Amino acid sequence: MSVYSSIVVRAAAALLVSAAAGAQQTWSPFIGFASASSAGPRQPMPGVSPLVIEPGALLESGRGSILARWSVPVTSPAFQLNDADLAMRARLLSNRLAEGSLVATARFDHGSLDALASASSAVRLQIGTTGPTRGLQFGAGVDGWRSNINGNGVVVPATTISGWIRRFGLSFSAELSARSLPGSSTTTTDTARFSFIPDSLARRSTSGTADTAITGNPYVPSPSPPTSSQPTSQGANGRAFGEAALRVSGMLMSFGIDGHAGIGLASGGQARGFGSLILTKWISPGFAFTGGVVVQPPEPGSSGRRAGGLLGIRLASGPRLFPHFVNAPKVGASSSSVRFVDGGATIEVRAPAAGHVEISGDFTRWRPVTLDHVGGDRWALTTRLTPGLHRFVVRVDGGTWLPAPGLPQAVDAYEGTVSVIVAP
Amino acid sequence: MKTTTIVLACLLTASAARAQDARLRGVLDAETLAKVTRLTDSARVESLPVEPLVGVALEGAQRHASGARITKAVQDYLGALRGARAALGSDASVAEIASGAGVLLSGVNGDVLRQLRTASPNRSLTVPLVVLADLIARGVPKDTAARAIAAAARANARDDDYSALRRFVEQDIIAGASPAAAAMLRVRSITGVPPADEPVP
Repeated sequence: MSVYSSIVVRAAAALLVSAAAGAQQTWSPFIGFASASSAGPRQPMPGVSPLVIEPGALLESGRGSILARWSVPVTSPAFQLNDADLAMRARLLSNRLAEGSLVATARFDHGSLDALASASSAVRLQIGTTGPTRGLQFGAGVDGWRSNINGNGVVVPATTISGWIRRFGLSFSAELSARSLPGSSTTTTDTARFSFIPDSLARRSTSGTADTAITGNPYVPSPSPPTSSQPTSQGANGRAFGEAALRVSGMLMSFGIDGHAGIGLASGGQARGFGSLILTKWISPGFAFTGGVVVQPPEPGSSGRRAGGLLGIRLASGPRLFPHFVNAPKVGASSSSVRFVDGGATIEVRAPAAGHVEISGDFTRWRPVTLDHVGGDRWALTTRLTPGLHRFVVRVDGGTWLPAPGLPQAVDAYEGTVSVIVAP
Repeated sequence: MKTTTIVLACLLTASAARAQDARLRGVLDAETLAKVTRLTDSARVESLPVEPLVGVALEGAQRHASGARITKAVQDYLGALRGARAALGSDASVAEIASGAGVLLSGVNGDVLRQLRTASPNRSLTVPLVVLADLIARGVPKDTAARAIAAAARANARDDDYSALRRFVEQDIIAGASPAAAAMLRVRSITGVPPADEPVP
């Protein structure tokens, strides 16, 4: 485990340095307040936590992103369960067609009542194709998990293949993952986490068979890639585990959507389904109502699934959505168009869920200029353009500068990609 | 009188240089600023357009490129400007040279520019060159794009024809046509015959 810990620490340090090295960074703090409840087959105590506070921050630069969050149920002493996530992604290679990245996620949770604590982490090297509307990625790395129940640590090799498309302002992704547990490793207890869902505490204290379910936080869209990228099943000797998961995120009819569903399979075991749907309604920039449901697979030895719900508000600076950003396309600009008028042009960018959209190009002397919000998901800038070729990039909510989707592109002198338009 | 004219010219030149430095001063470090200023001064002395060079430097600063990278990019662009003028002739306008440099930087051989100049010795090549760069940006293979524009030039196409070519190719690509097929098909509407299958320089 110490070797694995060292790998995770080094990967995290490398990612931090890499992300921080990008001179242009966006810092977006946020905080959430919610009430959460849950119900399941074993529910010895009331499954309600009236107030959960969740602070966090998102740091983004052209080279990667880092999300840190921490949640604490402050008004439910019997179910005090602190948990924290750290998810990072560093782009090692990025051009018009291909992208390679290093992804690391880590999670820690600790119940004050029974002093149970567990930590899980994943490190992936990913490479694949990318584009404005679709991408395909292959990943390989290791998953690790450790609990203070028995002190056993598990590290397993893991591989993933994931693909995504973007349509109608929504991002649809699918991921298949596989991992195997060496025959010499044994995990003898259950430490499933389910933050905000108090019955996880009951389950943690009562179950003792060789299985572990780890699913995403129901309040924040999982900071990791589709939930399947984290170890969801570990246990008996020499077993193989696989998962298939689908996720959709984006904006639909002014609602932010983050939903996912999947199924996990273990050799010799039964299939276990899971899923969640979180809706967010942004009332104004920085303020949103949020709510949703989460369904977790049955506990070991149990036949019933556990379900939970939450309802709360979110205050945020920066991105309106926090999609599973480390391994999926951010919901940014979805399409663009240019209309030429006498002596100038109107550049329109459609960006679902955007708080603000900026443009930077030769006609702005490469300085950021904020586009006007002209309704719905449409943002526009009317500017004078001299006849000829012009180049520019756009960014959404202070994110990465990218070419505007739907317009011709060219590689610039700095190995970046820019949009190209021709003014008549 | 002659001395006064020279002094005034020097003052105007120095004034222009200072104004340009002011645009770059806030975004480039001192060393890079000095190197870029030397390059823009060279361009000015050679009567080459300076604005594109300033634009390249500003773009590099916006992209947080290193000073060495910015200097190299400006240097490359200056080389492309020189190459464009060499290919288009000493009488080429500033707009033609700037457009030609963009075409050269997109990977097109300088002989294509010479071909176009030979085909249209008395017309401005600004629009054809801009359309050529646009076609390449839209995914038309550069050889195919060069062949299409050369065919249009030989057919004495007007600026409106080039603009129409660009517009129709754009529409065809959006409708699902391959960029190469769209360019070859649409240039026929100008020339009446397919572009010659001659080798592209």
